[in-house]
Amino acid sequence: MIDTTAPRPSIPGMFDVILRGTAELDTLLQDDRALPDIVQRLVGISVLGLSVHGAVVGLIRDLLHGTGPNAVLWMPLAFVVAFVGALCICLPSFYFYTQLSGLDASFRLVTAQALRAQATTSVLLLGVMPFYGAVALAAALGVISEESTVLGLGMVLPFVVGLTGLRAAYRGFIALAKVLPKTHERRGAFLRRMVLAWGAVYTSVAPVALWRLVERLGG
Amino acid sequence: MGVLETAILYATLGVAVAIFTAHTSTARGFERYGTLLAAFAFWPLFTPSLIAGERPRSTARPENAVAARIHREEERLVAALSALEGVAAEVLSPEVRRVRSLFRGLDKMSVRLAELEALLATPDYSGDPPRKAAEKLAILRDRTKDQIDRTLLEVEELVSQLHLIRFANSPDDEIVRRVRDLAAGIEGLAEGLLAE
Repeated sequence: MIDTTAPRPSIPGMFDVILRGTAELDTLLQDDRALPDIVQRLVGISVLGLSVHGAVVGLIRDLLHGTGPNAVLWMPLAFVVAFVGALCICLPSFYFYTQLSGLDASFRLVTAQALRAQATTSVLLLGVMPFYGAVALAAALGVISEESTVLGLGMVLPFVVGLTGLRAAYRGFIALAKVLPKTHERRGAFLRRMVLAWGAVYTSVAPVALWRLVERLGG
Repeated sequence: MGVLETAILYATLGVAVAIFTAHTSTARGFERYGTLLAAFAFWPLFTPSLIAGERPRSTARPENAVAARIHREEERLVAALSALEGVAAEVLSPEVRRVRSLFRGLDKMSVRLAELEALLATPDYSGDPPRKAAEKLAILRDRTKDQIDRTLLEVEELVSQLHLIRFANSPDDEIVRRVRDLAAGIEGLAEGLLAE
């Protein structure tokens, strides 16, 4: 017997839904009963992707510095706490901007949309990792002399890849705008402006959080 | 309030949300522990799902007679699917999602139907003699209503077939095969709706 009220893809199934099933994810997010499970899975994927990326950046830092396994242990924590923590901090602002745009979205729908952006970023980070590994290898072989460039790239990469996450949130809102009640009509590209406001507030919090955490944990 | 006091307060709220999540989460095994740990560490993300009640359906779905019938048929079809024993949840879950997706399409059509009916009831379109545009709108309304009726009739047929499968004492793999055939039928209905 299955639970008929909440169709729930497993975490591996969610990878597929995030990468290919944009319309399916839109449908899932429109079902209030499915949202708690979807939120849990999106958090899981976000944490997984950021942890793996953090571990790779930490490993490269350890290798380039010639120290023992040190950063590989705390860097995943720094990445996860900085990015997911920044999301927690920004949620009230996200909700505020969404309401200002005229979309009557619930707080948990806003949370799910924010996590959708983060989970998309995390999944794509896993895909970009081999390229980052190649850059790190080039640094280890002396092709790139500045190790801070390689580590800096590892820190900046989630923000660059994050643009695709932002795009996923934007496309999700386009679909949601067709079914969500509107509190007031807005003209122009209000959805685009709203998502850009989301991105702006998040980008002002997450780098500071990451910088401070790396500084604190890395000594 | 210093860092330590803030951390204690944060952790206390985290424990409360994790306990609440443990009661409501359907995750099992390793995934369950991961979820509880995430709920403890990132409780602000979990709190909205836990404290917010389900939104009234009327905000997302229209509640006129047609919409109510659509909703009733949706629940019947999903219930018939879920009542099948011997079929793994992994097989049925995608079909339930397909059903939900089909009925979201029907919801949109019922909204369109209600809008057309409201428009045709306005003095602009209900005067005598009827305007040419009113006739075209009436044709559109009748066609939309026909499509909804036809789809719901096919859904009723699917429900009957699912009941037959359930009581026919077929082997499990036979049930799975027939469910997949019916799922293809549901997909066909959804595609038909999108194409119209």
